[in-house]
Amino acid sequence: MDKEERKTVLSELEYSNEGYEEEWKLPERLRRSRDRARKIFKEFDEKGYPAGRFGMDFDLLEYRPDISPERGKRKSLRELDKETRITVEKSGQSIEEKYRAGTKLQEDADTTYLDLTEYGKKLLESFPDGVVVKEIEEATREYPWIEKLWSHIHPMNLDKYTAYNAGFSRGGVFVWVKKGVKMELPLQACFLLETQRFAQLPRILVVAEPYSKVYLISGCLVQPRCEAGLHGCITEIYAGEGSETTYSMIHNFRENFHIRPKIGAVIDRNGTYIENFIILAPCLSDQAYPTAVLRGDNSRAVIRTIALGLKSSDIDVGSALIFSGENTRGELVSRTVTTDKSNVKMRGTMKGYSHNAKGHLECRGMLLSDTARARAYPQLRSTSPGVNLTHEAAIGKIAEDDLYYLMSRKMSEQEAGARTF
Amino acid sequence: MLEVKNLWLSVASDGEKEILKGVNLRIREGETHALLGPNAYGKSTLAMAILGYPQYRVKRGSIHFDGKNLAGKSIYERAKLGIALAYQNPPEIRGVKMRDVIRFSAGKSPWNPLLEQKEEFSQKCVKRAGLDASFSERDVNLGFSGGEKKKSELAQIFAMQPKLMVLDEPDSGVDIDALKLIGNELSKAIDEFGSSALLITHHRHILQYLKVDVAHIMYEGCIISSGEPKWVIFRVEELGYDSYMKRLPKTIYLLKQV
Repeated sequence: MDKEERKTVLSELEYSNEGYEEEWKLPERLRRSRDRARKIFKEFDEKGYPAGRFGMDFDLLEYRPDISPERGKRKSLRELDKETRITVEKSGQSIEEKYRAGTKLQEDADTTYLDLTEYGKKLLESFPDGVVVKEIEEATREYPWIEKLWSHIHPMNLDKYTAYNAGFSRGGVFVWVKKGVKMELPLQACFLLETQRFAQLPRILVVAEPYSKVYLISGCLVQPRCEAGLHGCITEIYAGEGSETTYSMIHNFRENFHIRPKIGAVIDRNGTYIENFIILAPCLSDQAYPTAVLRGDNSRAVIRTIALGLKSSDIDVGSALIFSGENTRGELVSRTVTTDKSNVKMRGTMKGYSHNAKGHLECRGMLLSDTARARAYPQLRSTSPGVNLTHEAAIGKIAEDDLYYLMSRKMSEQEAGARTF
Repeated sequence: MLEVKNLWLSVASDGEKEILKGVNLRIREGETHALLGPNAYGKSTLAMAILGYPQYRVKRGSIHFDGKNLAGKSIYERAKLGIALAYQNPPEIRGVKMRDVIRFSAGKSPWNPLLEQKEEFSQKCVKRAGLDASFSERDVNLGFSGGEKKKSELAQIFAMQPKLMVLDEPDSGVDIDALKLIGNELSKAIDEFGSSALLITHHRHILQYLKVDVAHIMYEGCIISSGEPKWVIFRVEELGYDSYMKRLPKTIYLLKQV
């Protein structure tokens, strides 16, 4: 794409974005923030800097957020076609909405289905307005205070992906669980990519008030007929005092997709945050660096990453914990399996700034082919003498001794191999 | 039951160096044999070879079990035939529960029957080996002490109910009470399952609890002497292996030199 083309694409994007903002009647302050992000993006685009610190670089303008057709609402997930339903099920989503509190389905940019299940409705009966699950545009209109939380954890000038999302985001979900409301069953959010070369840029905002409990499973996947695209969501999680927040993200894409999720969480006093990040299917490139800030005293966080490198995927996954409250505890666990020609990097960073912070970082990679590459970059930083941070990294193939041991206990080779994974 | 005929063995990665040089051993049904010998002279290697570890290459000779030649059979197949090995240094396996392994050892899939029965069964085996029932919920050998590892090996062997037990130093590094328990439970199990056993050991203490029919001495990859266990062990303890070797009939000693 030469300079002239880029200019026309950008002006087209600008034009369609105006239409989008008008359509949703976004509040003035948010519009200004989006304007700022777009300016930053344009600057990045001209200077080509910074392209993102990690992961494969590519031209973002090849993927556009404004090319999806309009879609009508659906009555349930069952209306999806059969092939898509199978991939939806594989991405941790329940078509029948069994054991779920609510469901959101976003196809490209449009939310086509958003509803609470019976459990969710019952919860609402006992706690009127206890849970708010809304499309993000509606929520920004209704609750002006959201603007304060907008792009607060991920600054929009972090890299070109955050700027692109902050400037052109469409769709997403807002979850607000009020004080003392405990949701025992998870909410599910399904982000489905359908249009060719579409850039899906949703925003997820989770606000867990003190002593609440919330569990969100987001499945990002692609319709079987779609061949290339970009998924770049921004997730911001605010876990209040004594709250329990769990966030699971499952990526199920195919060979020609770029994935750039940005996930951030801030945890207050006595809060607990658990995140599971799972990559099970091949992709062109996937880069994620979920970060949790343990702001309050006695807060805890666990971030687990499980990545399977298939075909020629370029996967760069890492997680970071920042210990700024006292007596905070954290654990980062990465497990990767690398096969075919994939290239997997595991990163992990722990920064200890407070007294009596304790953290453990663990990266384990398994290499199953000669053409694959696996790397681990564990990193510990500390400015406080009272911290206790440890790390452990290992890359290898299946431990033969373990395998033979299990085989000698009447396990067949396949079973033993599967167990030692 | 087990017949090892003129077995020559080398490490697969290093084809030159032979570890076993013509081992002959025959264990009949229901017999228990003890195998003694100095360190690093091939006792554990023989145990691994009987189980079929692929890092050892059989250069000459054969191993027959129950009338079948074991050549070309994998560890899994040999385990299914009824050979069980209690490891000297079992590996620690993260993420695999004791109860699943015990369930597999008993030849049953851990997912199939009711969950409660599965737990009961594994807890029974674990308790029988002298461990706390909570061990069945732990990862295999992960963070176990030396003695606990030996007991965990026993628990798995009890679940397997094998025709042949190959016990690689079940008595090393355990205290006297544990030794008594291991010895008694082993001898009970041998009677109960009617199995044969090959016991690799350095001490005579465990032999108080087990009825051993024959004792062999392995020296430089060869079984050079076999006989009445009490006599053999008494002589070895008195003289040490080197002097014992020299007092053997000259023919054997000379053979060794060649």
